[in-house]
Amino acid sequence: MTHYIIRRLLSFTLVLIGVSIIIFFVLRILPGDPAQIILGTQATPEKLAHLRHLMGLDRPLIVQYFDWIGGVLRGDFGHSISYDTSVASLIATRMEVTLFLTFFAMLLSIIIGIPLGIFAATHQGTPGDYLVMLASQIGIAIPAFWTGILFIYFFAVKYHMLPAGGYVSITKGLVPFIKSIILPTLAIAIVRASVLARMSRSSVLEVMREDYVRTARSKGLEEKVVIYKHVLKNAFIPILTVIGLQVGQLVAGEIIIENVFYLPGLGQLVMRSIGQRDLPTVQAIVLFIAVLIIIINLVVDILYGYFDPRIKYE
Amino acid sequence: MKRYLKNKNFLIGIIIVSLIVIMAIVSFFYTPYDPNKMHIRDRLKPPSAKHLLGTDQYGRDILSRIMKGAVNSIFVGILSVGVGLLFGLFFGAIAAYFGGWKDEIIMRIMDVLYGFPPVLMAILITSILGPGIRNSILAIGIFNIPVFARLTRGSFLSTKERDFVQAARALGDKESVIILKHIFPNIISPIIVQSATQFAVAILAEAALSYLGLGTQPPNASWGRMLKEAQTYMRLSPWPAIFPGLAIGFAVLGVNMLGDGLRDIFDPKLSHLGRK
Repeated sequence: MTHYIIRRLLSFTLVLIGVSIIIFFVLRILPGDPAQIILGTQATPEKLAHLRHLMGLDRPLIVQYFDWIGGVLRGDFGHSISYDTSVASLIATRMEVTLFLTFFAMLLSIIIGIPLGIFAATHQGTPGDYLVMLASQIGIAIPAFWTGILFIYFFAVKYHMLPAGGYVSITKGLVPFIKSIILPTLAIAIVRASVLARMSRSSVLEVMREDYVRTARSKGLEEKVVIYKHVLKNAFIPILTVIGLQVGQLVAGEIIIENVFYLPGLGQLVMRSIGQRDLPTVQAIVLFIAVLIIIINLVVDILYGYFDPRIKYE
Repeated sequence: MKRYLKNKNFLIGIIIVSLIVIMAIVSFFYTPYDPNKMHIRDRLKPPSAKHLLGTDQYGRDILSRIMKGAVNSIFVGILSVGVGLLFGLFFGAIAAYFGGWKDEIIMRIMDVLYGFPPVLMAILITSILGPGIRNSILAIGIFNIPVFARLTRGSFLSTKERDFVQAARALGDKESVIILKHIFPNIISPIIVQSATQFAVAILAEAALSYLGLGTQPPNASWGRMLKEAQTYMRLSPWPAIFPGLAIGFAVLGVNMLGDGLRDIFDPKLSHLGRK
């Protein structure tokens, strides 16, 4: 187990380095000069050169990369051009919404998706199964931001039950907080729950075809016991992996949803920073989100090894 | 052919996809109105005989814009899946064929790319290159590369060791012949199925990017962009916010069902498992 965790941590570090290199070089190698972008095409060459020097763009790429990474490791994500403050403090103030949204959307999609998938698998071929499959097929096809827009129309514009957007911090009261976050959470969770339901259904069905399940049945165990004790325990492992893989999609979905509901989270910050050509902020947020995704995947990987003792990292 | 027609997913999928493709083709010759022409006096009208799906905030005909939006979505879908296929097949095959450290390096790079949700990648790319349809195709395409590389590598590896490939090798076939004639035809069906899935992903991603203002630029019609504009005027008229969303949903549903159907047909063993 310890060996397994060490191997995962090693590969985690490698992926982190890879991600940071990609983010850095995508922003540097692609045509377009960040200084020019900030100052516009009217800028004088002197001003350009001055800003390039200030931003360290006149130094070799390798030096720039290590400067940036060195800063990140010390918690210094750089200085935001448009907000004129440290990017780290910007991220800190915007993190609350995004983290709550991630957590609740994930929780909700697990609570809805997995039981539906198990139900469909154990009732394979019945109308209930078809209904779940149909609903999830539709849930996957409909973009979350459209669901969000429809929610706003029905619950805010038409029936005035919930706010159309904006965020109320949890420190200002639980009810207003829930009211401000329930629609965006639901909009994201519907898509993710649909994917989870389909995945859970296939992994349960796959396990149900295993020999040991047939053995359990043929020795006369009750169907309930077979399902709960033999099938679900084993089907849970692939489901767990899927949950990990979903995180990336979920966080990406949030960037959009935060913009639909005007939630002041990282997604909204990154879009505004793009609009204002604030590269240090964009770069830092993308790195932050990527790291968040990788960490959650690492945790899932480690849990995976914990739940299934057969797994040995080669 | 009978196998195809008997599969419900395939049948419904192909009907929906055909309808959308026909709508896109027709839009080159005919749309009820000029999709970009503004009629301020007719703004935000509900569906009527004059405008079947109503009009938007500039009085533009929504049906005409949805038809043009279909062209846009199909265009982005084909090109971004094409980019993914081209590079993914190449890198996946190289990784599987050579193995060893080449495999290791290629696949680790693919892992890193795969960890990037397409929206995040697009944000990164458009923040430098600027928003636009070309850059969103690039971003979605890059996201597709590791998907196809992993699939190609996996299928390639499992086929490489099969008896008929060993037999061909024993008979003295050249390696290039083995790859093209024996291995490739056997990995093509999972790749076709995956292409359908990625096509659906591309339609959704394009809509999302255009909604965020990073994809298709005005005045060109894009389903995602139409939703963004409609949201602002929702208090006055909900219709412009409904139809483009339905179009996206239908297109994605159709492509996904087509993909599911094809998977069942190509691989009957898996048909009871449902989509992974």
